[in-house]
Amino acid sequence: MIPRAGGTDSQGLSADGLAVEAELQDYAARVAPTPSAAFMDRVMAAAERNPLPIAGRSPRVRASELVHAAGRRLGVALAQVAGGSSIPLRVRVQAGAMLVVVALLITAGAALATAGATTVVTWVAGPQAPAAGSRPSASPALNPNQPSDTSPRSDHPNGSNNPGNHGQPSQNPGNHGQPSQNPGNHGQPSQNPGNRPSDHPNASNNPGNGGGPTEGPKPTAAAHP
Amino acid sequence: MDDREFAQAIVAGDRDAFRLLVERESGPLVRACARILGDPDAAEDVAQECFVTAHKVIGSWRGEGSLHGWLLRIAVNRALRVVKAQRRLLPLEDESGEPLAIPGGSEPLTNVLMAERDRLVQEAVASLPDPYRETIVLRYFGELSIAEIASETGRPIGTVKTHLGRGLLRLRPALAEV
Repeated sequence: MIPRAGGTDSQGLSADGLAVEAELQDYAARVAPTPSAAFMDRVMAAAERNPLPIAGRSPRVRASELVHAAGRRLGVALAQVAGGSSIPLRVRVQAGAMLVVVALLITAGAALATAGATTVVTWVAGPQAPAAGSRPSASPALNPNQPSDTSPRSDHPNGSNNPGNHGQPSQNPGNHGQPSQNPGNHGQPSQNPGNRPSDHPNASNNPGNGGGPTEGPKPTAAAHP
Repeated sequence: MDDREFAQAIVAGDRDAFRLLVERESGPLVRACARILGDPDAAEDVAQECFVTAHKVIGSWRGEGSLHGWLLRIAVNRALRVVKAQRRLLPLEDESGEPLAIPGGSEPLTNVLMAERDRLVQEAVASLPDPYRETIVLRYFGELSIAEIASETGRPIGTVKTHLGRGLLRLRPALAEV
């Protein structure tokens, strides 16, 4: 059926367009051969010579062919690994030993890597371990010497951000705010021998006793000149 | 049997289904190829190649549009490639050097002029740029409607109409020479 000029599909065409359309339709009417009698047989024979490709076959057939192809490839690969009769036994044993060595090296490398990683983790986490007597912070990533709203408050009335000082600001750990240049005395009598006030007119100028009496061993009288 | 059943049967290896498809579509395909090529024998060759190709790849047909349009588009594009590759000149002598017998007998001049005009139409259409060429060929040589062309090419109907009108206007100067 050759479309005729002036149909629905020809609406909107200009006069020139309609003229060319009529020309093309006349040409199509003149050139309208029918296939020869042998055409059908030729096509069928050509189609028979070109079987359907994998993409055009049914999924079941394609799956079956893929499985068979994979099986063939696997068989070939296994035969190559085994070596067959063409590879001497000595070479095959050497290849197997080499495979075992490679496997051991890989295992040892993995073990070393694991040990190294463990060491690094331990080293990194070490400074963040909580000090004895202090409560664990709820924010382990924070420096324990820095104030944190998330860390539990100290129960000590003199709170300190220093571990062991319970939130009490102090530059001297253990002095609890008492002015002292000698750490660890806490205003208690010195355990350090000597340097107690001397009866000697030229008393020692060595600091550290705080003027308190000492319970240490009696000092030897200064033989200060 | 509709197009989908045809395609499924052929994919499954049904030879009779393929034969039925060839019987149904061989006429339109050979006509369209002959209008493009101007040679019925060459048109049959191209149509045969088209059927063989379709037999191979019919599993990839997505069912959009008709099987007729899908086959026709394969055939038309193949025929246009042949025209572009050959660009044959109209032979005036056969292989022995004798002048070709002009069919028609009593009105040889008329037939020569008609053959010349047919050749002019073929060359003018073949020299159109795409998408005008494909639209013109599918519409007037493949005998598809505008809706069928839109369905096969995936273009809107308005676009196909535009391509058709502009393609016809581009053919006007070439066809006005005769």
